[in-house]
Amino acid sequence: MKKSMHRRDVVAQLLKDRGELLVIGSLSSVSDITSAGDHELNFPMWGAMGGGAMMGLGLALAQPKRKTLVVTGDGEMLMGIGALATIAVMQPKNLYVVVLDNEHYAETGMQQSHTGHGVDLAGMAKAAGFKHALNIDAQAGVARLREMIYKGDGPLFAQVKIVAERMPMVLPPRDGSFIKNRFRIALLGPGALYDE
Amino acid sequence: MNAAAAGAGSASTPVGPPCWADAVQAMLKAANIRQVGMVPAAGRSRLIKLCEADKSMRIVRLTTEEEGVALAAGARLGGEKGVLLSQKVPGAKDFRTLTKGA
Repeated sequence: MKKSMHRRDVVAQLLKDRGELLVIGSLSSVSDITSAGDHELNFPMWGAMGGGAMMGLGLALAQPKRKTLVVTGDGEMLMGIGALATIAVMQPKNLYVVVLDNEHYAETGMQQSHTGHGVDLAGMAKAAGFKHALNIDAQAGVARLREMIYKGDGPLFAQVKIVAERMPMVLPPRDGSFIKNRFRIALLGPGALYDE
Repeated sequence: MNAAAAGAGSASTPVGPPCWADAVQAMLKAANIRQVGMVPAAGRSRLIKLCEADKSMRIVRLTTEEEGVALAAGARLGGEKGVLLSQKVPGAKDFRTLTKGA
């Protein structure tokens, strides 16, 4: 099926007027979340491939009153696919995982990924026990997804089919300590710097 | 104890006499550890049960150790402390995740 949606548009729509939403972006999605506006409550993971959803779980469990959104790609999710089972067991109501699925490993030369051969990540999430698991391939679905993130409970998993395209990088600060401390101060207050 | 037994069920009373596991659990508690990522490990079964029985700790069953590294990083970001209870031969997989960097 011909893909029509673009990753930057999808993420911009999801992050518009984001309020207190906590956002983790992994690999290529680092640029996507930053393109929507560098934000102190963004944690761009840069690398650590395969860890996006699990980092989201740790954050969501630590911050049950906030919503945590993980934005990642099909290749990154596949590398840590067991996380679907781990998250489903914990049933975090405040965790939302959005996979931007271009069916390719964009960073390494656009090799085709498993989802391009029919692997249904949302189906796997549903079978694992996610409360909501969505396959989204049209714009109307993104509006509904946004509604479910901001107004509904998780755990939610969405596989959003996007055009396979290489976008210019839009990078956040490179210093990992800085972005971690910026996030923690915004979330926990200045005392966070004095935590052990 | 097999893998399923180590990872299954709700909190239960640890069996056997106190040992090193009790001291380690007390140290984790004193360090204010809230999230305990774990994979099944026969040699850690008492420690796992002690953590399960402690209401201040939340057990997160992992499918692989790598998940625990990311879990603890997320916990830290959100103001909690986490620990990864690894298998008997820790290291290679966890360190690989660590060296990939966050």
